[in-house]
Amino acid sequence: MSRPPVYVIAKSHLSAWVEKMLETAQVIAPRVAHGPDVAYGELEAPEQVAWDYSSSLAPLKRFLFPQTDTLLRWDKQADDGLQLEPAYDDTERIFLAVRPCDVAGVLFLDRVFTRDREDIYYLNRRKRSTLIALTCAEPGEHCFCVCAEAGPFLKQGYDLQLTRISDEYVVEVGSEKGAALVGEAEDLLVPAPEVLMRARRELEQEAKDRFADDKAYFAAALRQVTFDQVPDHLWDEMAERCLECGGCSFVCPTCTCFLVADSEIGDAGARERLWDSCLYEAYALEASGHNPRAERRHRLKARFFHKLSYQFAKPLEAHGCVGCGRCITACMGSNDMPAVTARIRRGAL
Amino acid sequence: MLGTAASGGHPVARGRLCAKGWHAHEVSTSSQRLRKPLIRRGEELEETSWDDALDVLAGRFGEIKAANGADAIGVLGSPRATNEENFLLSKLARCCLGTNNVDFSARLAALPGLFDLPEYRRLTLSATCLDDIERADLIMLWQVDPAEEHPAAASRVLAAVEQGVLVIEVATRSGRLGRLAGIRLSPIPGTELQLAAGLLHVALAGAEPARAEGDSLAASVDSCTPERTEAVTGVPAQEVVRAGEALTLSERPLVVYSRGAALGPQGPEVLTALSAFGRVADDAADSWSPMLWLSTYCNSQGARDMGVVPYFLSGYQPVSDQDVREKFAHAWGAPPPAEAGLPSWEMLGKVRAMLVMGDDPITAFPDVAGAREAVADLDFLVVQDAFLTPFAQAAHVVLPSATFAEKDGTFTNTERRVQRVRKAVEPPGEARADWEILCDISRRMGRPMEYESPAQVMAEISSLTPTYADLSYQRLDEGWGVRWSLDEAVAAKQAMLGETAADDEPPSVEQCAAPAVDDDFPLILTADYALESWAADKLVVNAIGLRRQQGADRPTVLPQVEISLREAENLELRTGARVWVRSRSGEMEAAVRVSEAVRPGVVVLPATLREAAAAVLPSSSNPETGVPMLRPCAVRIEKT
Amino acid sequence: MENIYLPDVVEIADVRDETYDTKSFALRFLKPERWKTFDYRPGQFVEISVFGVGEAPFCLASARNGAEVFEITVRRTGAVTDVLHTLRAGAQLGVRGPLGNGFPFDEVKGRDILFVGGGIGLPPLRPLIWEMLGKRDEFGKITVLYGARTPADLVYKDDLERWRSREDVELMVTVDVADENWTGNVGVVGSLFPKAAIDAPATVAFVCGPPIMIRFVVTDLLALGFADKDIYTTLERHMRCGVGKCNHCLIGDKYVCTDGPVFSYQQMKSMMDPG
Repeated sequence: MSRPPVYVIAKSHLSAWVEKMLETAQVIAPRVAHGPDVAYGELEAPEQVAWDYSSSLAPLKRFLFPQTDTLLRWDKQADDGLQLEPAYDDTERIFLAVRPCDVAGVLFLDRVFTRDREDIYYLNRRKRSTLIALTCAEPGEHCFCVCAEAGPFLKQGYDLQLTRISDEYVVEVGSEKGAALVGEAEDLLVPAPEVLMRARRELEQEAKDRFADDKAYFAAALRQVTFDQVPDHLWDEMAERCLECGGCSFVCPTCTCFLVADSEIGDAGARERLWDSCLYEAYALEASGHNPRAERRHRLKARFFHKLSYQFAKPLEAHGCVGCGRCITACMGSNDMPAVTARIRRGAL
Repeated sequence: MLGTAASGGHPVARGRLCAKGWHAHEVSTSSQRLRKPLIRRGEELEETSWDDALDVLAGRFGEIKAANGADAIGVLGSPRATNEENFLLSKLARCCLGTNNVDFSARLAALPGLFDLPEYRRLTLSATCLDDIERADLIMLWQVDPAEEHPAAASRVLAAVEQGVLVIEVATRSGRLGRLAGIRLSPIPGTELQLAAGLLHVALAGAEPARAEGDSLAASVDSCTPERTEAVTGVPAQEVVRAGEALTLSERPLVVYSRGAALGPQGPEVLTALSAFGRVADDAADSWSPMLWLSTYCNSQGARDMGVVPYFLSGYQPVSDQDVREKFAHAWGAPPPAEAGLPSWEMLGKVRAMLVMGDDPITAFPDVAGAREAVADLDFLVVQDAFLTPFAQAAHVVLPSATFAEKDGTFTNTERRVQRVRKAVEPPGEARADWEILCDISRRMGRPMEYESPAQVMAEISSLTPTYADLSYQRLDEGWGVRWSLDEAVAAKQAMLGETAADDEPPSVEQCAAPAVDDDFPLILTADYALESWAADKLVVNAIGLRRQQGADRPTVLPQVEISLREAENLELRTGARVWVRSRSGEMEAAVRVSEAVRPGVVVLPATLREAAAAVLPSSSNPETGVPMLRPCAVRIEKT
Repeated sequence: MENIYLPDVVEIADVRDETYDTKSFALRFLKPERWKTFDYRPGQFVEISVFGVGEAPFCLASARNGAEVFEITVRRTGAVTDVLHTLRAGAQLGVRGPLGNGFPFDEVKGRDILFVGGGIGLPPLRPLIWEMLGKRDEFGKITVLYGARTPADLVYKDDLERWRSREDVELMVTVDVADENWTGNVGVVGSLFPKAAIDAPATVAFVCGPPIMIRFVVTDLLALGFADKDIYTTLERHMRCGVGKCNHCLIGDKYVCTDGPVFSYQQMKSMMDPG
C-alpha cells in the first residue's frame, strides 16, 4: 500500500457493518455491563456497542491472555499411555471500537510474547484477531496516553482506525486484514473525501491539545529507575501505601506475569496459567523458603523497574505503560503510575 | 469461568478489589470442589447419591428428635451463604426441626453487631457506610488491622491519610497501617477497657459542659485520669491526653473496629465504651455516626439479619415475643419455639446432632481441641459445603454445595447494603445451591418448603421482615443494591426494651483483664486475630495464587510467635530461633519472629495457631455472657 | 510454531538414593528419536512435570552418554519433589528442555579449572567435570573441591570414588561436621583452598551451592586473586515457565531461566535486584 486508503462510513450504516462482522467472527466491543460500567465484551447484536464510551473497565488482554488459560490437558486413563493435549483457542475475533491505548497495549503484548521465544497460546489467538481502533477526541478522567505516546490517535498497529466526525466515521486502513474487512462491506463504505481527511487531521491535533501532557512525567522517572537512583526511603514510603491487592498488575494492559499450576479430577487433569502479581509477597518465594523480595519496598521497586527501565524498554520497544489510567482506579493505595513517576521526579512523596 | 474484574461504578468497589477479590472466581474453578454427596461408612467418607444421603439424613434427624427432643439438634448457618439460604435454614430449624438452636459460629466475633445481645442496649447503631472513612476528620483504629481484615476499608483509610486526616491506632501489635498513624497507643493486653475509659475521660473533659446525658458516663470515668491510665495500661499519659484531645476537637471522628475488640476478655464492655465515643461527638456534625463495624465475611451482617441467631427471627424480631411468633406461624405453618435456643459455642457439647451449612466452628472457637472433641462426640453431623474442609471431614453426611457464582441470591455487607448475586455457571458435578438442598431436606422430613427461586424466598423475607420490606430483586437490580434503613429497627428495639439511651448504665472500668506478671513469668502472651488470619480459610486454600500468597503452602514446622525488639535483645534471640513459651498452665515450643510492631513485654500469637498453644493459653469465657475467648496470660520465653 | 510449554513424556529408567533426602533419577524419552535432538550442555536445566502436581526445574546432572538417558538429582523440598520421591522405574513424567545458557566450555580451554561444590551444588557441576575429563588435554590442572554438612549429605559417592582414583584430577572432600567413621577433611569447603595449589590468574572457577556458601567462596576466591570474569556460578530463583515469559525468575532485567542460570561474578555484580 503506497498510501493507506481511507474510507468513510455513515453512523447509520454502522449496525449493518457490525452485522456483517458478526457473521464471520466473534465480535468483542465495548458494552454496557451495569450502570456506568462499560467493558469489552462479546457482542450478540450491533445495538449493544457503546460507541460513545469513555473507556473499558478491563483491557483486551483478557481475551488474548486470559486470567485462567488452559495450556494442556491429559487423561491418565487413556489406553495408549499418557497423552498430552495442548489446548489451542482457534476463535476468530474482531475487536471493535478499541481505544488506541488498548491497541497499543496489545502491540506491547505482541512484543512480550514474541521476544526470544514465541508464545504459541497468545500468538495463536492474536493472529486470529482483528483490531479496530476508535480514536479519542476527549480524554477520560484518568487518561494520560499522550505522556506514554500511546494515543489518542495511532499511526500504525491497527487493522482499522475509526474516527468520529459528527455523523460519520473516518476509517483508516492499516493492514491487509483491515482492507479485507472494508472490502466485505463495499456497499457501506466509500473513499473519504479530502475535506473529511483534513477534518480528521485537525481533530487529532485538537484532541492532543485536550489530553493533558503533564499527568505523568516519564522522562525523569525512566532515567532514575534505569540508573537505580531512586532513594530507598522513597520506595519504602510508597510501599506503606500498597495493600498488595495485585490490582495494578491485573488491570494493566501491559502486565503479563503468570503462575503455572496443575489440577486434576480423578485421572483427567489440566495445566493452566493464571495471572499473578509481582506485588504478592510469595511472588519470588523459592522452594527452599528463601525470599529475595521479602520486603514490599523491593517488590514495588522491581515492578517499576520492569515497567520503566531502559533495560526493558529497549528490547520491548516501549516502556510498560500506555497511559490508560486504570491503575489510578484500581490501586487500593496510591501507587498508580502518574503518582509514582511524580514522586520519583520530586524525590519525595 | 475465567476470571474476575472490578466494577468501576459500584459504590463500595469503585474499581478496586483486594487480592481475595481478584481471585474470587477460583472457588468456582477449583478442582477441589465437592461434586457428589458423601456418606460415612466405617472410617471413610464414600460417594453416594443424593437420594441416599437425604434419606439417611432425614431418618437420623427424625430418630434423634423423637428420642431426645428437638433441642437435641443444633443448626449452624453461614456468613458466606446468601440471605435466602440463611432465612430458609432458620425456617427449617424452627418449623421442621422445632428448635431455636440456630446460630453461626462467626457470630462469636460479630457480636457487637446491632442488637445481638439484648443486654447491651447501649450499643451505638452503626449508621455508617465505608465511604464515611473518607469523610471523617479523625479515624481511630481499635484493635483492627484493616489491611488484613478489610482491605476496602484500608483503602479508604489510606485515602484519608493522603488528605492529612489523623489516624489513631490502638493495638498491642501494630498493624500494616500502623506506620501511617499519627498517634499509636499500645496498651498492655487486657487493659483496653481502661484505655478507652482514659480516653473518654480526656475527651469528656474537653467537651461541652453540662450535658445531662453525659453525666453518668463522665462520672464513671472520672477517676480514669491520664496518670492512672498510664499506670494501668502502660500507655504514656501524654499520649492519652493527645489522643483524647484530638477526639474532642474532631467534628467527625470515626471509630473503626472489628473482632479484635469483640474477642478480647472484656469485649462487650470495651464495645460499650467505644460507643460512648459517639456521644462525645454528639454535638458535632449532624447525622454523623461515629462507629464503623467491619465484618469479616461477605454475609456476616445478612446471616444475623436473617435470624440465624438463637433468640431472634429475621429482622431482630425476638422469638420471645408472642406477636412475632404468631406472625411467623401464619406464614410458615408452624410457630417457632418461644424459648431462646443455644448459641453456637454452647451447642457443641450439648446437642446430639447438627446440621451445618457452610460453617466451621472449629476454626471460629477459641478452644479448638474442645470443639474437635465435641464434634467427634456428636451422634450425627451433616455438613453442606463447597469444599471438604477439615471440619466437613468429621461429618457423617457431606452435601456438595454451590458457590456465589453458581446461584442467585443476596448478600448484605457491613454497611447493610443488600446486593444481588446472579448465577453465571453451573455448579460442578452434582453440587447444588444450599437453598435447594434445604428445601429437599425439609421435604424429606415431612415439612415441605416449596420455592421456585430465591426471588420467591426474598418475597417471603420481605413480607415478614420490616427492615427488608420492599426488597424485590427488581428493585435490587436497579442500582447497586439497597441499604436497609435503621429507623424501623431502632423503633422496634426501643419498643422491645422500653428504654431510651439516656438511661444506659456505663460499664464499670475498675477491673482490668491483664494477667499478673512476675519475675518467673514477666511477659504477656496474647492472641491476635488479624495476624495471618486468612491462611487456613477455604477460599485462600483453594485459590492457587492466594495459597502461595498467604503462606498456606509454606512448610510450617513450629508455630510462630512474635516478640518485640526489646525482648529479642534481652533474650538474645533472632528471627527463626526456637524457644519454649511457658505459662503457669503449660508450655509450647515455637519459633520467634522479631517485629518492631509488637509492644515490648508482649508475645503475640496468631489466633489461627491457638490450638498449638492450648497448653499455654487456655481459653475461658466471659463471666457475664459466657462467650468463650482467649485470655492473655503471663509467660516466659526460654531458648531451646 | 513450537509450543514452548508442551513437555515430552519421559519414563523413569532408574532411581538411585544419594542421601536420606536426595535421589537421582535416570530418565528416558518415550520417543527414542527425541534423544537425538535433546542436545544439552552442562549448566543447562530441564523443567520436570509430575502431572497433576506441577513442574519444577532441575539442572541436568549427567553428561550425555550412550545409554540415552539423562539424570536429575532431586532433594525433597516441596510438593513436586515429595511426589517425585515416591515414584519408581516405569513412572511417566514430563520434560521440557534443555533450557538456560550452560557453562562456558570452549572459552575456558587451556585454563586451569577449579570446581567448588557445596552439598546439592555438585549436580550441576558433575556433567561439566565429566565432559572436561573427556577432553582432558584441552584443559590445565583440574581440581574438584566438594563439601557437605555431614558425610551423610555427600552425593555421587561413586563419582567421588572414580575421581579420587584418577591421576588427572585432584579431588578434595570435606564436611562441616564429621561422624565417627569420617577420616577426611573437616571444615567448610573454603578451608580446602590452602591445601589445593591454586594458581589464581591461570584458573577459572565454577562454584555451585547454597547462596551463603557461594558468597563466602567468592569472597575467598577474590582474595586469592581471581578475576570477576573467571568465577562462574548458577543462580536460583523461583521459576515457573522456565522460558522467559512468566517473569518470576527475573533478577533486575536478567531472566535466570534464559540469560542464566549460569552467570559470571562480573555479570552478577552488575545485576540490579532490589532484594
